[in-house]
Amino acid sequence: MNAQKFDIDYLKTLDESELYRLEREIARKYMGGLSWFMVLWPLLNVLCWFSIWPLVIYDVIPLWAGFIIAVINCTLAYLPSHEAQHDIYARKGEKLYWLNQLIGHASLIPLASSYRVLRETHIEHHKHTNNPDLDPDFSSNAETGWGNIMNSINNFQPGSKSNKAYLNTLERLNTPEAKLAIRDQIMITLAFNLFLFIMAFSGYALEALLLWWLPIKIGFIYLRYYLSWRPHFPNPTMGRYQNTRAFKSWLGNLSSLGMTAHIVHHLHPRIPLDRTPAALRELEPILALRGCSLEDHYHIDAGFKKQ
Amino acid sequence: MPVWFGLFFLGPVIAEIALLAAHNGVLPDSLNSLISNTHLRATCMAFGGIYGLIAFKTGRWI
Repeated sequence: MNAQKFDIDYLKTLDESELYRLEREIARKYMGGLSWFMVLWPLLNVLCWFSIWPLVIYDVIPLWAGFIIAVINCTLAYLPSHEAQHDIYARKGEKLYWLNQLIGHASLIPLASSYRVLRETHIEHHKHTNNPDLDPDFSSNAETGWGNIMNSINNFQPGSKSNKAYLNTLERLNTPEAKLAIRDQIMITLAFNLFLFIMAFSGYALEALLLWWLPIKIGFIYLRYYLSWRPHFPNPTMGRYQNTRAFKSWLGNLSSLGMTAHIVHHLHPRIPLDRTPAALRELEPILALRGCSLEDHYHIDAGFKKQ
Repeated sequence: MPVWFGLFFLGPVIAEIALLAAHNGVLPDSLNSLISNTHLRATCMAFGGIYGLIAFKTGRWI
């Protein structure tokens, strides 16, 4: 993929439609084709998570090690499904659509979550980003990162705002798919709890706690911080070029699960996750000209990258 | 659901932690003998169930 560098003075001579066309052309270069990295990710992650159960139960690895691996597995479980939510692996009618759906559903097993619920609500998040009434992820809003973490912990309470926001969104949509999504989540929650009860009665309560229940909670806290809060809050604003921002993270793109370039995802959701950083580097001057919040990534006045 | 969760999961988890602590000598002797002389699992399940009921009524676990 040949990345072009655009001179900011040249970009300033373009009118609105030319700039938009150029942005689309650049984005299109990064779309299409199967990203094998994003295919292998969910496969290895789910296999790893399944394998830690017998390894811990038969004392091949200690429970604390299994717990650490399970936390990583649960944290990594969401993003492949997120790709499937946007039909990035394959669109409906294409030969590999089955793979898109399989990854969408199966990658979420460690999180005990419904693909349909997350897809329906995530699409609404894209349509209504940062709208306090219609964005189902708006409950992640907080003044600080710690505030967001406390929000996430509060959202695990039986009467949580976040669960209600998702349910309200599905009820507002009231489509057959939204009804199926609610049914799916009820079935998954019942099966998940039944599994916990059976494990507890078989003398494996601690294993169930540390390999599944607690890793889900930690995984969701991490995901909500990097996927919801960092790219959108604080100071949530609406508008195509204002509702998401680029940011820098302490371990770079890796620790933020690729979210430093989340702005690219919101502008062009069909670009695979592993290509968004490269797409951001090429789109940076255009986005800077659009007034996007790119934090340390790009400074329009100087016209150079700050590292 | 919180009541069931407390009764059938949280209770057994607390019982296992208490047993583990007693087994490893972490607890004082008086607590150790209390654990070995009671129906630990049933007691913990009852506690978990009541805690779940409170969580259900108040809408909060913590």
